[in-house]
Amino acid sequence: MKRREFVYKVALGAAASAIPAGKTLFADAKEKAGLPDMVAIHGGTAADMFEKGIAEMGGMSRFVKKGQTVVIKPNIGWDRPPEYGANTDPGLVAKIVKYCFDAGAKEVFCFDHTCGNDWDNRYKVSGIAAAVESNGGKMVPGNTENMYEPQTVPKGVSLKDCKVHKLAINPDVFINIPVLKHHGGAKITCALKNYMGCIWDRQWWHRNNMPQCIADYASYQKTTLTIVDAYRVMLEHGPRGKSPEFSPIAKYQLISTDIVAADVAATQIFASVAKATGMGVPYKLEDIKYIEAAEKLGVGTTDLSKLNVKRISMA
Amino acid sequence: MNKIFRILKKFRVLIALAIFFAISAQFLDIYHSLPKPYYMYNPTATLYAPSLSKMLAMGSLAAGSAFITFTICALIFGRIYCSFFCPFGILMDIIRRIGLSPSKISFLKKTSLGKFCAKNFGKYKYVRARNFIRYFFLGIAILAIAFGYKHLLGFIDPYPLYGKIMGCIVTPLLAESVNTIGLALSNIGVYSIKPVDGNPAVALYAFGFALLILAAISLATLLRGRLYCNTICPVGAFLGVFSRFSIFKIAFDNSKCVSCGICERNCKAECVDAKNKNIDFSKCVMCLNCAAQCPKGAIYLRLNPGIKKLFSGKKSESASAGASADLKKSPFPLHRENLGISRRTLPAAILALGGILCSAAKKDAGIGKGLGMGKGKMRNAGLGIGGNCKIDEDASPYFIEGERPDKRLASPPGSGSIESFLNLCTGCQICTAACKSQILKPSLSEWGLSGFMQPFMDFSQGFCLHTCHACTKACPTGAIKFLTSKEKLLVKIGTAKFKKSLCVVKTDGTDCAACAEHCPVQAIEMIPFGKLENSLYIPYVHEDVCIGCGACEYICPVTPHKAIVVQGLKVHKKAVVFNESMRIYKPKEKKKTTPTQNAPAPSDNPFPF
Repeated sequence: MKRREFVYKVALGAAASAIPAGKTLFADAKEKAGLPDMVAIHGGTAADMFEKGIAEMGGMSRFVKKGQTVVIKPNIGWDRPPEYGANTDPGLVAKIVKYCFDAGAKEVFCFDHTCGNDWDNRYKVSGIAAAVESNGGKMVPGNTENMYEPQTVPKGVSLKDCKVHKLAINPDVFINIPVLKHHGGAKITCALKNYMGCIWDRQWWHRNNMPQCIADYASYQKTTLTIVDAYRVMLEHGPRGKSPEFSPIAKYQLISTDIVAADVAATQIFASVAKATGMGVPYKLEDIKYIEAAEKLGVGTTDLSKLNVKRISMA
Repeated sequence: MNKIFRILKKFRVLIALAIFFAISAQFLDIYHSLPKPYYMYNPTATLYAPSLSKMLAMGSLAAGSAFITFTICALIFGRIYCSFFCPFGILMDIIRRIGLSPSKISFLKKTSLGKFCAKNFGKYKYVRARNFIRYFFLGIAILAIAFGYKHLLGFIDPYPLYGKIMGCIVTPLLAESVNTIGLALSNIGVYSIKPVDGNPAVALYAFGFALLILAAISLATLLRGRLYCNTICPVGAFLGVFSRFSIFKIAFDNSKCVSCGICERNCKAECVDAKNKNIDFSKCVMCLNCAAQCPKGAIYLRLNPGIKKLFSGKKSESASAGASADLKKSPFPLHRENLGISRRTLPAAILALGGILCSAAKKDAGIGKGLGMGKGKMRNAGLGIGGNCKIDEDASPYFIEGERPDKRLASPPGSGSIESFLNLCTGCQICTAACKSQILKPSLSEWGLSGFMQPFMDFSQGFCLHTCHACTKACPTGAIKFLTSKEKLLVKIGTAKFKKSLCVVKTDGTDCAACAEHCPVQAIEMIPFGKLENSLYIPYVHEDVCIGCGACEYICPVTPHKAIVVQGLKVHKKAVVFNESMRIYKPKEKKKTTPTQNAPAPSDNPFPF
């Protein structure tokens, strides 16, 4: 398929799908003040898709009020440059920080409990430190235990209490910015699993029914917004990544107020990209155990039809 | 004359401080941010004993250039190394300054502290050289270097002693205080002070031992000046042999000297005998304090009269009465009588030396073994671990009591083999300060008792970062030889040993894969476990691919015994690079496609939901 032909078809397809989608949207709009719960975007760069998507969501001012402190939690787990798709796209993070300030945020903090030592280098190599700092945000370290404070998880089944990073405790606004990728243990890591970077003792989770712990923590963590970066989708050798060739550019993004729904949509994107490229395994929803567990705790819904979902194709 | 010496002395202090801070910078570099050229011209490699050690270990004359240069320097100017370059000597001078300061600062002068310091500290008098002790320790050092037990140097050579003080006291204290200040500031929303990576704390025994060295050397310095340098220090004794014959020497000008004794009181090397107008050049460290302090300008620098004699062939007339230490009895510089060794001293020293070496030489048999420490019988080791543990033939013999018996200590990458590492390492702790993940820690008995203070890799704190080669750049003795970051990627120091019966995937039936996700070389593959519908995966280790970095051991959540541990190798190997054909588990339905950069987007609706 030639490029031009491809663009045409995608545009046609998008137009076709937009008509019924628009109808349901109109119906929901009466109940939900017209603003979508989730926006799915396809076809641009991570930063461009965010610009389009957040406008559809009603702008950043819907989530960030003047004078509020915003905490963003991208995935900065690994010492990999952006093309590996192992960390959140720095261009996207930069845009989010900028929009937060434009909406009147007092301060924007960014942190992650990186996987292992060398955290400072990971902040740098991922490009996220530069993205945050050049837009006026602050990178906060997450590598020392004294940054973490004990908290109880009231709804927790397996996880009753854990040490949480100071910034993640009762923030004004908390924006979760996971990257969608393959994971050797959890199969797929995205929004819910990204929260493992908010706590200190991950090993405890690993030996105490990890999927349940992930769901339990999500019932505790306040989340204002979940922005899934699926511009590159690492399909194999996750979560660290072996080489950029296993992370094809898929050009997706999800902006959602429901973290569980975001993971459900992300799982479906992962499966469709896996099928299209012939890499990885097209996992089904029931393979990803923590998603259902999180729904049981009332964190969100796995039924996308219950939500007001808007789909935008930029191609 | 006197003025020139004052300037020269200031010059000496400036150079000494510059060198002290250049070397200490590596110990103070808690953020690992020293610029690259710093390590290319590693200042610690310019030290005397480390440079000799490296020259012998690498067989390269270039590595020993510092050793050769300073030996020649001693023949020209005397022991200037001890005053200008030796970090331990400079540390002593700093301690002396601090100890004397209460008696000099105006508002402290009158207090009891000031009076006490003035009365007790920094008042030296001439003491005859303790040659038996000096040459005994020099003998230990020479034999230790000759027979490959350089770890003994770690307790007598000045640089490792200095390193222990820096690496076990200064570095951890600095890092911990930076962390504390950073935390306090973060409570008020200031995040500008970054916490230090890894756990900077050292074990109490290492801290205590270093504190002991610091206390002993402080006491010795305040009361007796460079006492250590003229009794224990093998470098001092060795350079002293040459400095007797140095070309330039200080001397008394009899016409000006009034025998006031100020020079003797200020001589921290205790080598100036003002009464007899004599200077013991084997002890003199060329600090020039005597000349700078002399109120009459009666001390001056001159050519060695012995040399003059050598060239002119005449008896030196100009030699002033007091200047001694010329060629005495034997024409050979290293002759017993020239070294001031009596007939009885030498055999006694040799006998004592033999005794020490015999006890030290039994290293592999293990002094630690007899005491049930380090490597001994496998008592208690691995109790409560189901099944037997596989120990390879080429595995390191060192293990930690109470841990899994197949967990074996590995030596740092670059050391080549455990034997070479333990023989060459003097425990100066510079690698522990350089280690980015702070996993190199001084040992207690992990390497046996003879390996006390030699660093070991502690995977409970972190793991060896794949692309980091900081320790190979820092080591001055050749115990950890330089590796480029590219060479280091494939150095295999150990092998991960996985024990299924301990893994949470088997014991709890839950997902984990923490080890596989942390493995930097894809040596751990997750293969299906149990019934397929459970969709559980369990680790499988490709042992050829594993480099032994300890990431899997560090992250393994199982307690108290990790399900996956590193078994160190006796001799390091080259790891194999992972490729897809090695896979144990190949899903059948998978299409054969080459990975592409751009994912072909679905043609009609891009959204699968």
